[in-house]
Amino acid sequence: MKQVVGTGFALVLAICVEACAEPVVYTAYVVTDGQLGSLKFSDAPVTMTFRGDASDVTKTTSGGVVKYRIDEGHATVAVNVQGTTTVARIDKGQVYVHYEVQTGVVGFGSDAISPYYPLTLSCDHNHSNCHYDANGNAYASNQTVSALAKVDADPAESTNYSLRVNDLPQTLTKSTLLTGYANACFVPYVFQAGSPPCASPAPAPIHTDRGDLYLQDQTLGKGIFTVQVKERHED
Amino acid sequence: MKLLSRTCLSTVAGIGCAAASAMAAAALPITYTAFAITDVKLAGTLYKDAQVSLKFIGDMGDVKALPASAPVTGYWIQKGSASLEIVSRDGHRIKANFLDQLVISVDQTNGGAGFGSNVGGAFNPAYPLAIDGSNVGAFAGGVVPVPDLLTPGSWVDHAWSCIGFPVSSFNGGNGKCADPAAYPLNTDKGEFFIYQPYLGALVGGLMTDDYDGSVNDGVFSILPGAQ
Repeated sequence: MKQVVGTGFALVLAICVEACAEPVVYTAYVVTDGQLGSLKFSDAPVTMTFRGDASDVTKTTSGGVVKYRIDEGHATVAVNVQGTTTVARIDKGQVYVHYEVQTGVVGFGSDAISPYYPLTLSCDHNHSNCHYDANGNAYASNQTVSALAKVDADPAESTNYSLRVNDLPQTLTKSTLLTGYANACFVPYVFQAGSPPCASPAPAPIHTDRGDLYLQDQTLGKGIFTVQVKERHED
Repeated sequence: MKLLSRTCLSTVAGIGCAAASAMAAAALPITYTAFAITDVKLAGTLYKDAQVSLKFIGDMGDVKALPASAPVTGYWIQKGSASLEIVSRDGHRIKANFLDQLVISVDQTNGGAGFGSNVGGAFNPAYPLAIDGSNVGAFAGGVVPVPDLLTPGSWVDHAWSCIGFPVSSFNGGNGKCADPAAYPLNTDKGEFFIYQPYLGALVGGLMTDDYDGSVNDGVFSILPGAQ
């Protein structure tokens, strides 16, 4: 009996190398604009959180791009307006978390609206110039999510970054720190003086227990995305 | 207050608009915060990738234009009380109050703002924590104004915790920040150090850019009142 238990434990360890049942929290920090219920906000710190289990993360590969995604979990959004924070629970099924490793996109998507909305981070606001290869194409890589994608495409680029950048896990199942240009706009951003960067709201809301959420970013900021897996402590 | 600052921003003519506004709005508390995920050490305990929040409460009347001898234009506030909060990766929350005087400043020439200090006998605008980049400088066509240390707002951009900033080796710097180990910031919970582990724009191990040299990001906010 003892031997069976021991074998079983070893088997679980082997399986858990990729993702075992562990609580995981995904958090995105940005400054953006929009509306939550009747609360209109501008230039406000917004934190979006998704709590799930690492064992629910799926991994697929398409066109050379590894995609991690988790749908099962509980999401919240917190909006801070001049020091006062309003927290809302996002209805189940409204958002999922995903990370496209080689194209350097991470954040919160919505099946009903867009994989990039309500909130994602990438190498630029429109995900339009995130072209990674070893041929010297121009692309921004001054954020960790784009730096990692760049190094994936051309390992020689790793010398441009410190070891801690190169060592950042690129899954949704291990704690990591991903930074990038924020996208919280359904339509493409417009970069023209006198024009609002995000011209129109999303065609549909994200439903929450405090009313409908719309993000319509006008701040052109960057953002922080963390994966926080509950650490196991050895006795 | 907001209207006053907006008017100032639209008519600024290099006459110390923020300082003038501050005089008109004396004895009004104001709060500055900065947030980043990074490594810190407090009282000998290292917290890697911790959530680090800094707070500074001052008075609008103490916001002054940077001295004429400064290489950039902007504002700073040198009087106020500062505190910090660390949330470790395993969820522990630690709070402390700074005993050393921190300084909030904004560089409107290059686009940067945050928490500075006088560690090492010189003003270090990016230690313990400042942010810089296109969002702060509004270079990218955004509608967010450059911070003036009076108008409430928030910005997210490259996070720097760098003694000796600016350091770009392409601009004559030595390409490295000084080791914080020799420059503790004193708090009521012990000595505090903050690090900058996520570096970019490295050539030969040296930082070549005073924006992209940090690929980590942070949030800087100006809030009305004492928060």
